[in-house]
Order: sequence, then C-alpha cells, then structure tokens
Amino acid sequence: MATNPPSERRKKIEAIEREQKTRRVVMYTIIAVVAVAVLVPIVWLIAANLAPAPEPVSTPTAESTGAAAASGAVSDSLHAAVFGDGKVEVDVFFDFMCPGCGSFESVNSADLMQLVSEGAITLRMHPMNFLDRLSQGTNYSTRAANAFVAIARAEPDKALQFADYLWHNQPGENTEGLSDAEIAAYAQQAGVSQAVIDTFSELANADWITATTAYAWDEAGMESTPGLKVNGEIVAGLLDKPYTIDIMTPGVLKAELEKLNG
Amino acid sequence: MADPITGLLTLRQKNGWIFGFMLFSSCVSLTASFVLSYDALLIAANPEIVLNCDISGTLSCGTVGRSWQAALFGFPNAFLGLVAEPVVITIAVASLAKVKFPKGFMLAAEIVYLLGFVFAYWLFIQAYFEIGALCPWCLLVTLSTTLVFSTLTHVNIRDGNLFLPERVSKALQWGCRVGIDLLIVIVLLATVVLLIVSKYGSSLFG
Repeated sequence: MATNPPSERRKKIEAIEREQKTRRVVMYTIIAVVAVAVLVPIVWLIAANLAPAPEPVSTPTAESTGAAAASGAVSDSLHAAVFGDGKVEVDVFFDFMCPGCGSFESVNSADLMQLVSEGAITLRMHPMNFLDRLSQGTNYSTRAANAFVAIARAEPDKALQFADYLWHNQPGENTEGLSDAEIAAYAQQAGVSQAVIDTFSELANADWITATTAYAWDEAGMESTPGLKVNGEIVAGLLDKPYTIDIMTPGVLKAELEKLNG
Repeated sequence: MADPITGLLTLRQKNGWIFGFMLFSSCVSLTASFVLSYDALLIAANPEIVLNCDISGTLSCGTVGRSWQAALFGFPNAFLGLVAEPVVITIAVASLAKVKFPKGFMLAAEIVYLLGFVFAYWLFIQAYFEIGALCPWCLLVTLSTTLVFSTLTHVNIRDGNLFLPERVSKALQWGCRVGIDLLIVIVLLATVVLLIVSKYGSSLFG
C-alpha cells in the first residue's frame, strides 16, 4: 500500500466509493420496485372493494323483485329451477358450455317443454358452471346459467324458451362463448322484460350456480354431464355407464316419460 | 443505512447463500413439477375431472393442463421439471459440500437451464394471453425457475464460468456486486405480479 503512488490509491478509493454509491442506488430502486409490486395490488384491491359499493344497493332490489316470483321456478333446497308439476320427476344436470348437453337438449328440449306444458312431468333444471374454464376467462357457463336462473326467478314461463335459444346457438368449447349482449338478445327474443335482462350483469346467481354444481357432484351422484334422473333414478351422468335410455335419439326419452306418466 | 445493505450484498456473494437458495428453489420447482405431472395423469385418466386447484374459471390447473401448450413436446411439460430439477439439486448439494465443478460443466448447466427459463416464460405468456387462465402450480414453477436461473447465473458470473471476454466478465461481476442482477429479478417478478393483477385482479379477489 505504501508503495502505491497517491494518485493510484486515490483512484482505488474512488472506485470503491463509486461501487458503494451505485450499490445504494440499486438497493433503493429494488425497495421501490418491491413496494410498487406490493402496494399496487393492495390499492387495487381496496379500490375494487370500494367500487362495487353501489351494487349492494341495487342487488336487494333485484333480489326482492326476484323473490316476488321466486316461488315460480327456483328452489334453493332442490338446487334447481323447477318447471311444471307433473307426476314424473325429471332432473337435468347441465352446463351451457358442455357439447353433450347441447346435443341432449337439441334432441329433447322441445319434447320436455311440451311435456311440462301438458302437465306430464316436473322438470328440474340444474345449471352448473364447472366448464367456466373452457371460455377463455369469460366464465360463459356462469354468465349463461345466471341469466337462465334470473329469468326462472322473475319470469319462469320464459326460461325454457331462453335456454332453448342458447342451446341452438351454443358456442364451441375454448371460445369466449356468447357475449353478454348476445345473451341479452336471446332473452329479449324469448320475451324476457328489459328490467330482468338488466340484472344479468350483476351475476347475482353465481354463488347459487356454484352451489348447484357442488350439489350435482357431491349429492346428486353425477360424474359427468349431461346428467339425467327420472324419478330419482340416474339415467345419464355416470362415467362408466352409457345412458340407460337412448336419450340421444329423438323421441325415445319422450316416449319413455309418457309411458311412466301412464 | 449503508451497513446492513453492504452486509446483505456481501452475504449474497457467499456460497452458502447462493447454493442454499438454489437448493430451496429447485426443491420447490421439483415439488410443483411433481404435482403438475400427477395432475396430467389424472386428466389423462378422466378428461372431465375437476382438480383441487380448479378454484375458479380464472384459477384453474385443469384449463391450463388441457391446453396443447401444456404438452408442447407430446408429453406433459412438467416431466421436464422432474428430469431437470434433480440435477440442479445435486449441483447445489455438492457445491454446499465444497465440490468445485469444472467451468465447462457449469456452462452446460447454464445453457440447459436458460432453455428451461425461456420455456417457463413462454408458457406463462401462453397461459396469460392465449389460454386465459392461471394455474397456481405453474406460477410456482415460473417463480422457482426464475430463482434457480438467477442464482445459477449469479454463481457462474462470479466464478467466471461462462468463457466470456475479460472485460465483459469484469463488468458482469461488478453488476452482481452492486446488486443489479437482483434488481433484474425483482423487476421481472414485479412485472409478472402486476400483469396478473391488472388482468385478473377482480376475479382473483372478488
């Protein structure tokens, strides 16, 4: 050290000082970046929690209008939208995104609607949302089922027609599904009032649908969709068994249900 | 203020810290790879299965696991993690036991892990922009791969294992000493966090 000329020693000290200074700048930058990465989500979370505050104001009104007609179709204890009061009990478990459900409905939807109106069957529709993952983040299953349940609550006589429109325009898996505007348009086509359509965006029935999905798997004994029960017997919906009735051939299910009705 | 910072940055250069952290990260990555491999088998056995990490439409291993990107080479990507991470674990454990690997060996490890690192971020980008769902175990792989890659790169720069020209090597070593490598990692991870929150914030928390 002593042999170093002073200027060289000075240079070394300067280099060390520069390194320490840079080190400090880098550290503060790191702390700032970490703070941003932590604070932004927190602020966002708080803002998101504050923003929906107006929603609860409108949700009770939506629920109260729904509750007035709720006896019409939606039963919490049955986890179903119930149509008709015929002798034969038919439970359908479905997801609006499920292609098999689309096939089932395009074969049987009109027949089931007819049997309901004739008073031959009690049709319990159990909308599920487990295929939300197949609509690229738009949660089509929940959006469609929510609209269906909202209609079943408020204007039950329009619900099956609405569902029929959705089935005939079923989007493919792994697409974004029908848009909110398209769902609203089909509801309008089915004669649903604008006041009910306006409640769709609140997704007020989302939790109900999730609970129905859990009920289908855990309590109703379903393993896949479309699921079908007739008078409590599983006709379709088990993984290792094909349908006990050929429900994919037009007229077969209808004939079977008419036979049971006697 | 300068003292704890200096202390931390000195600790960061030590073998014990680097390889200990590498060991921890690679064990996390191996665990996540194992879970994802097992899920891939469950999905193969029953395509309709609802996995326990299918929390919502947004948080779903199943959605990501069923995508074509999840088996880019014809088999589940997670199998690569099962193959590669034990090698990193071995390097970390041996280095903690003071084994000194030849430069060429460490360079090879760096190159192979660079491929894994790039692949991990390609998958994240695919999941983010194309698949439209987040898979918690995949994100854990993204995180742990980043940490392993950064520690491996750090040690290779520090020890001059990358056969770089003297000047470049010196500059990189200086960068590591002042913590620029750490800054890059933090910025990268912060970007990932902010990307996720900006796109999925409402469905994650709401």
